[in-house]
Amino acid sequence: MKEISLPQDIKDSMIEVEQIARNGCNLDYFPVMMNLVDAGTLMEVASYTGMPKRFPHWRWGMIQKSMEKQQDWGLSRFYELVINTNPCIAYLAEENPLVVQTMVMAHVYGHADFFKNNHLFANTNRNMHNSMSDHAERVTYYQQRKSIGQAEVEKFLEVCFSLENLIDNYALVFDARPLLDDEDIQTNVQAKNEKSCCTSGGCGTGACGGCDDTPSSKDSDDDYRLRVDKPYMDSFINTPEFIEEMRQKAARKKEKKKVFPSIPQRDILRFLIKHSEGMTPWQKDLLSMIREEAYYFAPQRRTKIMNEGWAVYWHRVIMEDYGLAARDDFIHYAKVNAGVLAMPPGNINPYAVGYMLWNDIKERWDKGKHGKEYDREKNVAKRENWDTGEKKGLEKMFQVRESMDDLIFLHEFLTQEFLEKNKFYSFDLDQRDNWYKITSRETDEIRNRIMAPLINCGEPMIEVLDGNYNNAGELLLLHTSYDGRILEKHTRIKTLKNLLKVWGRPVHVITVDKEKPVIFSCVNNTIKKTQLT
Amino acid sequence: MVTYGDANKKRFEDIVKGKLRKDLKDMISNPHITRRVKDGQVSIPLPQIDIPRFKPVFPEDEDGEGEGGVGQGQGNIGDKIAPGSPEDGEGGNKAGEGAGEHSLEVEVTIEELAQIMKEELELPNIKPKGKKRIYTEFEKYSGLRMKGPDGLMRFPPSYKNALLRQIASGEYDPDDPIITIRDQDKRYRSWKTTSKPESDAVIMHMMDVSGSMTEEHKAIARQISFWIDIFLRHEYKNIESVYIIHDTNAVEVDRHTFYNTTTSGGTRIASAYELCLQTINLRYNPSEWNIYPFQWSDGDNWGNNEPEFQLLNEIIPLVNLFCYGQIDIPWWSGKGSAPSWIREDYEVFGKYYRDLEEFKLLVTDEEKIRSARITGRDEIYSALKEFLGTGR
Repeated sequence: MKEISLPQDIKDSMIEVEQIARNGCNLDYFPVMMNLVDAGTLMEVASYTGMPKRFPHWRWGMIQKSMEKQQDWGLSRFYELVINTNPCIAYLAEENPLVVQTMVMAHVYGHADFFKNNHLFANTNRNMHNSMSDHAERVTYYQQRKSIGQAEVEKFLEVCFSLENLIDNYALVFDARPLLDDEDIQTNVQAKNEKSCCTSGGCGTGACGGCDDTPSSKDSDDDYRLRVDKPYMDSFINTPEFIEEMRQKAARKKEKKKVFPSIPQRDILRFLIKHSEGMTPWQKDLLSMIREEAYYFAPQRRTKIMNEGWAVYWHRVIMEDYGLAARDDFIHYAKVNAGVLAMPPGNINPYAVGYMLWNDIKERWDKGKHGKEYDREKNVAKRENWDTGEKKGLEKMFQVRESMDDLIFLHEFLTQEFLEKNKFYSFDLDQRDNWYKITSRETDEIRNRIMAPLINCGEPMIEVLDGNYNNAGELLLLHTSYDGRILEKHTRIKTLKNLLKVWGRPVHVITVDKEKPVIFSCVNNTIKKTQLT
Repeated sequence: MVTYGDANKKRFEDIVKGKLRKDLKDMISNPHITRRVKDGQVSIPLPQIDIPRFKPVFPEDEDGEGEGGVGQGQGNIGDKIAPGSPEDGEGGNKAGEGAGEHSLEVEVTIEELAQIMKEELELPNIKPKGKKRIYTEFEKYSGLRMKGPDGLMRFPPSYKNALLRQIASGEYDPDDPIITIRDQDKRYRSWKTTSKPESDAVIMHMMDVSGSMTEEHKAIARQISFWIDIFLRHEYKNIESVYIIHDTNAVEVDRHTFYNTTTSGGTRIASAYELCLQTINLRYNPSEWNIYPFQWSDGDNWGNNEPEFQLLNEIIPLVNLFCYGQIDIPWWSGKGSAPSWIREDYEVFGKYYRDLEEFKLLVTDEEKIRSARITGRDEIYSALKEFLGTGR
């Protein structure tokens, strides 16, 4: 790794940018460490998703090689990398001219502000760079142990990578270690449920974990009685037979509820680490490392558009409004900036969409283009020239950057007006002549197209239904296909086999195939398909 | 600071090679591979090296085709914005591999591939024959020197020297940086002359294009030729190819015609041998050239094969190796097993192979004749091993 100390000119402009960001823009961030590195190092760091060090694995080599190829072909370029740590670590590519470095540093302060203030990052491990190098040491240690060896570690890490998306992307708080027992979680949930609904008369539906226990403790006939408006009807409706039947029904229901886990678990990796019998201790350790790293990156996956847009917005403010761009090689700045914001046909560029949306928010709240009266106004010209002089744009922006993630952000601000103003369209492949053609300019269609891939970070919704399926300790997963998407065939087969390796007993997944519910079972490394009725 | 960057890359390359090694057999019979060679590189799809994950897809998009999206800009509904991926077919670069479209591809050089092939098929080094070894001399620019022609002056080191000299002597003025390169600063490229033993080879492809050779016959012939070509290119610096097609008469053609011609005539293998012998005598002096005739046929020959063997007796002493590939695709292939009564009849048709086996016993250079029967794509691998396993 080649690290170069910052030359004086870059240092000077860093201090200047920092001043503007802190005092001019009111950005709020942890201290930022700027590192100037050569292109090769930047690529290596990029293959580690920005971490200075990660455990050795050929997967990073593969990413590195494909990035090198892209760079050689001029398809993409890295200008900067910044990671969510305290202090915030950023890397600048050495070969950029000063004006680009300045812009990149302004961009970095935007990200640093977002990392510190967005609520999703509040519980991330700001010391992750050290945890990651700790992981690297542990992996190296396992590799050097004679009883394990490099090949075994490498192979098992491949299995781990294959399962790394099976986490609960919407978990707000992630405890990396120690893992709580399932029982602990259940009691927590029960305690909560009892407080919320059971004290207010019992919900009776059994939907919450706590309800069953409360009535059974003082099991009286009244619990099974139907409510009767006319008292004289009571002996006809609530006959002793009926009460007995209801009592048995409730008992059966309670029996049925004794599945394990009692509530479906979205955090599949956690369940595997906790309850699998197919893993040795070092394997469990590796899998929990991968889980920890996956959770660390989850907030970044959930705020890609906001985060990038935010950084672009502020680098433009710092560079253009404060005149830093005009001072130097302006053409170069303009060129790089245009490249960052380019929307190639058929692709959503998170930088561009995010930037446009932040700009739109600024304008709308500066001019008061929101609220009941504005929404009621149908006159296009009046809407266009609407200006109440509210000047609350910045305030709104800071509030949004704190409290939202991409889905809510788009849901809230990807308005019809915005889409029309910026001329968005949706397109599809026309099979007849093999051309991609514009198919719609409808708001709902475009909104769906943009937002659907962001649900659950684009990962399938899978949860553990049963850890003791068939009463034989088999694992049963449920894939919920909310939009008709199925699990892709080749990856499904291979991933199931990897799950089998980790669980050590047969693994089943309920999903949809050919529009029918099916269950795929992986037993003895072969896949079997059964129709569900 | 210790990093793993280069180690990771190295490990990835090793894994790719390991996978190639493991999949070589499938790869050798995969018809798509022949279209993937470009500029000395072969790009090979390796989807299995990618990390599998549960991935949601729309059922209709499972083959990776036709996904729509969102764009930005002018235009009315129905306007074309971009062409779809090219249609399947001969010309297409990514012809019909379904899920392969988005999968990982790795690029290996032909040398690497030949090396893997050599190791995996356990092929020996070829011992070039020819009394007269040819030495080629070539020049390689390998360093710098103080004197030389201006055309070979390298500017960057010369400039650096001038800059160093000016700074050292105090002539350099940062506000007015004028660098003057003097004679003593100039550096010129220097070269070394090395010589390397060199031997040339010619591959003579002969194919029966009579009506009984179907497209599949030719595809298999083409596939084997492709691999032979890769292997021999690894062994020899210069390779020439001669393509001869024949029915009852033989003509020399170009590569494209070779694989794309069908005539309705009968078959007289001797005609091809005549032309082959003639070409060797005229153009490829056996004392200078390593000669590799390969012959593809379905084994159906007119006559009693006597003239053929007489000609072979003349050809064998001139060449390194003579390979005969008899592509016997049973017409019932793909329709289950053959009815028992047909078996005998079928054997009679492809009898050239059997006769050649008998003929082999009579010649002194028995090792020089290699023959293989190929009844389907699965046997390409063993045929290659048979042909190239002699080290000649």
